[in-house]
Amino acid sequence: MQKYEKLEKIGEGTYGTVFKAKNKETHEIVALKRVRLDDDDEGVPSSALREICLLKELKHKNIVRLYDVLHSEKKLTLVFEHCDQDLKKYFDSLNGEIDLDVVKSFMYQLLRGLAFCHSHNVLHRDLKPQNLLINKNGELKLADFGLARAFGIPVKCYSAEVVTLWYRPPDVLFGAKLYTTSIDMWSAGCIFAELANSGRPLFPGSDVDDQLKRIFKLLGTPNEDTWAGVTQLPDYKPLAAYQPSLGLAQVVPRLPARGRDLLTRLLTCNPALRMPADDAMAHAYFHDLNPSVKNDRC
Amino acid sequence: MTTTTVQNPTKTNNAAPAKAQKNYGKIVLTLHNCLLPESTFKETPSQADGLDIETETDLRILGCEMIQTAGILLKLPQVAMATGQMYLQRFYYSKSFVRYPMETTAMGSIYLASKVEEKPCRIRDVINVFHHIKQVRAQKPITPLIVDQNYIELKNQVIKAERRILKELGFCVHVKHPHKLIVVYLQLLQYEKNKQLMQMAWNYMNDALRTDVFMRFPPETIACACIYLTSRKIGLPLPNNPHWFLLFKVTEEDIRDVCLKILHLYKRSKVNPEELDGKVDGLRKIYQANKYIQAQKEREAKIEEKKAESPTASTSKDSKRDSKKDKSPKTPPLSSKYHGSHKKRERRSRSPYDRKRDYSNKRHKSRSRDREVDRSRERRLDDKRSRLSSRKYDDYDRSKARDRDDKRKH
Repeated sequence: MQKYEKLEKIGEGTYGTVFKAKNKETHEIVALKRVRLDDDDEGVPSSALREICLLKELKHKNIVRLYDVLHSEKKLTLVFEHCDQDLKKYFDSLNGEIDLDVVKSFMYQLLRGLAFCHSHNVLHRDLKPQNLLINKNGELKLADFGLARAFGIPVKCYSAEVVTLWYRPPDVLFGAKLYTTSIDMWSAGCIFAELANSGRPLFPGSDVDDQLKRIFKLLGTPNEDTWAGVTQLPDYKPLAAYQPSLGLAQVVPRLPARGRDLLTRLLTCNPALRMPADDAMAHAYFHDLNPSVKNDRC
Repeated sequence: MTTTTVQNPTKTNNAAPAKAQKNYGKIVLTLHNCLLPESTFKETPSQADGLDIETETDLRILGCEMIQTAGILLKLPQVAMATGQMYLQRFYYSKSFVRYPMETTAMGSIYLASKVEEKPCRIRDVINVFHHIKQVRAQKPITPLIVDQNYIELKNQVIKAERRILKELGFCVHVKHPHKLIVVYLQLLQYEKNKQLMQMAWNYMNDALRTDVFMRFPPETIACACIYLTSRKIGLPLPNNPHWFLLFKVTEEDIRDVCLKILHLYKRSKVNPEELDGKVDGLRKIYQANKYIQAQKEREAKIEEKKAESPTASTSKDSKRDSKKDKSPKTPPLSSKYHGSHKKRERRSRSPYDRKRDYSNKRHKSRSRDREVDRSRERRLDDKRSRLSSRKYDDYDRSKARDRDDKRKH
């Protein structure tokens, strides 16, 4: 702990306070996430456990780096790479106008980080703007792996209580417990639309029903023809049969046609048909991406 | 405070001095199971504390058995029990049964495994279940556990054990189990319909958790060994031209090694928990006595050192400092034998006392022109001292060994 000089409090994480700090030896700026253990009578919180176990395996340019874990009597401190702000704060600073090249760059980096997680058998399960960090160089990094998990084959049943409501896919809203990487791809689609609209959330539902209604108003209510097995899902409930409104052009007016095509493929209700991250990276929308972003290897 | 390095490369990139790097143990980062080198099995930490190999093996078996039974009672999935047993086994290749009681580690293991495998249970339930197992084993009447000071103490012990395991394992808590490999392999061999083969191979696998094969061989080898053993047992010939296991890049030699280790398990006589407890308790008392003596010795040595070092120690300030240090004697590092010496060095060089001493010495030195020279001399002295203390620590180990021998003679 003496190695780091605390500078300021950044925020409250899922299980502890986050500080900005400086490494006294190297003068490197880091983020310290403190996990309090004394008043918690169930040991190390599962979310901290997941975050440490998984993040230490994932070393990638678009994933926040976990440098170190410090043990002490009363607490556990995670030392993270420091980023200037999260995507939510970035939106707030925009005043409603975002550069479309920035949208493309951020979206590509988000997909690249996700593709890396998925290729290493890790699901993030909690993608949202608050969990995407942005630094001064315009780099985007996935953070907060407190809900993430490693998945094996065969897939086991997972908890359905994952992902913040606004970014939760319809299959999980219907109580599906056998989700895969497709869960993160839906969230990525929601974030894509939010990026293109300079930070206006796509489906800001107030509860599960409202959330489903908002989704189906835009994309049409799924049925057994468009999504085999949907009626068999644990929490399936028949909702008003909306017709697909085809209104993407109105919902994301600034996005070009290719971008809208990619968005449609990510926002596919049937998880089996949703586009995976590496395919999305190869989508035509990214053909004219700034090569410095594309070639930036980790 | 101890540090578990999660990432080494960044450390080097930052051009950190070589000394700082030394403070961290190297941890190999993979999602694969880590295998231990042969030397680890020859001299385990428990053996270094005087525990004989047979007792250690019995303790491992008993610990695994308790985790398995507890897991069943807690209605955990088998994967959690398997993971918990792996934690226990691995932990005691870096720590000693003499210093860390098996039962608390077993409780910590199953508790941590339940979290990692996403079927978390409560510490309270873990404690209750272990209490129950022990009553059944001792054929005592079953009485519920009373929540008292002892219970609170025990609960804290379990929480501590969990963190100790995490620290020792460097947070490498995802275990790759060969169970599903058995299924995949038997499918490839088109024997997946043979229930007997599948079930028996699984049984061998679960029993194998009590041996050290998971620390010695990759899961692929173990999966093949379990199939191999079963096919012999039920007299079912598997393709041998070429041998079926070559398909999975496993050698017959390794398979036989694993099989032998599993079969040895069944030859052992049933463990007697009371006897094991007695043995470990005896050694623990010796260890604690030694620790106390060592702490005292160190304290004395420190006082003497200081006297020899600064003859002006009679100034009121210095004597005050001495008494201050006496109040908080430094016990020999409990945490780790390997990191002990440089951890100590680090702490020492950072101690504010040292800096203070620097100045007080300088005052007597009529303001030397070259402060840097002085400082470097101080530093060298410091280094010498820490080397001394680490040597002392070795001595302490040796003296312990001597004590142990004496004890045996009696």
